[in-house]
Amino acid sequence: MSESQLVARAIEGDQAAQRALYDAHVDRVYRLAYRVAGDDDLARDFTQEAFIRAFDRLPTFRRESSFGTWLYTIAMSVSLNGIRSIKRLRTREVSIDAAESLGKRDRHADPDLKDRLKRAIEDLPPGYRTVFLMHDLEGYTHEEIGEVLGIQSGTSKAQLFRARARLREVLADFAGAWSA
Amino acid sequence: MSEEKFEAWLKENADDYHRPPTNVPREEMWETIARARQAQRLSLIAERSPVASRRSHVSGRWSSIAGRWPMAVAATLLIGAGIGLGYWMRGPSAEQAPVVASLTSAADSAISSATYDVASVAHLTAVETMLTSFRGDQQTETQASLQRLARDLLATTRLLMDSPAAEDASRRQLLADLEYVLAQIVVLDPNAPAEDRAMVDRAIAREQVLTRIRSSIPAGFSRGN
Repeated sequence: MSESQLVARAIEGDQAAQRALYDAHVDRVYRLAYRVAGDDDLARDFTQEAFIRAFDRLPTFRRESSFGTWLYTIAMSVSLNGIRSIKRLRTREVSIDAAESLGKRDRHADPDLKDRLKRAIEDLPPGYRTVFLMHDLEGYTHEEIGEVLGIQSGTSKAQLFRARARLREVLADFAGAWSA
Repeated sequence: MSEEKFEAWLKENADDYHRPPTNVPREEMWETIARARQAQRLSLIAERSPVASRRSHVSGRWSSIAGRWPMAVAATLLIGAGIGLGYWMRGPSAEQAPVVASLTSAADSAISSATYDVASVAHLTAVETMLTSFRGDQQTETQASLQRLARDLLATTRLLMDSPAAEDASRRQLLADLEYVLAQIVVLDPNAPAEDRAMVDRAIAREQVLTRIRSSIPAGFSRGN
């Protein structure tokens, strides 16, 4: 059965069709959510919420894109909004003293590459980071990213370029590792 | 050339960033989704019940709640299942259209409004109980089960925020603050140091969450009415 037929049956309330759509896409949705959240519980929450919203809104799916792209759009929206809320919460909880001490932290104090890289990715502007995660880590094309995020594919390319440039600059003291 | 080397190096090393586990918890997530969908269907049944349409003419915001107990039960079922009401009054589907069409728009609106009120109050009652338990019980085992409950309540809070229940400004702000607090509890490690728990306690106190919840719950409602 084609995906289009599955969608039609899922709209009619066919649970087997809904399950088939779920099976076809859950891995990718979960991976995306996990890349954004970095936490299994949150990734589960975001994945579940994405599917519940998608099934609820299925009658409004206009088939202008594939079901997958439409679903990933919902999943990214749920994940990014969810993680934004959590970050807002954490920001509120960081005391002024703690914030000051973070600001004064010696950037070279932690020699571990993975930690530095992790921090550098997290310090990227949200748009850059999202495109970087989707393209370089999850293998989405710029066209797919454009559709999912509602931006031009050229914008996606530009953001990826800037993300890499930013990372390269921040990680300059590791240059020996990649130029060797 | 240097650029290509950097990109290759970056991809290789960055792949560890938030690397998803190999095994996706498919079945567990599907169970949760199916439960939520089931609760959604239950709410539709409650909405279609003759009792619901007969009661729609009852005036008065809270006086009508007691007479709509089937809908309140449905709302509570939804909350108990950890999902919200945002899904069930968001525009009629083709399947429910004949039923909805049989109601006047005013009656429909009255039912919708009262139902969201019931759902919100039931939800706030559940959150109040959970937060009170969270603050009072320090045992790790209890905390773990409270965290699971907090996760469900967080999901419901978010759905209520996305529903007509959040049209009232003060309720919307309360729901937003609850989202902060519940999210903090959800991500709290059950074995976290006391200072981490204290941060949550401070957030609850600072936002006067419990006081605001209690003032939002009509007298008697939380005692089983």
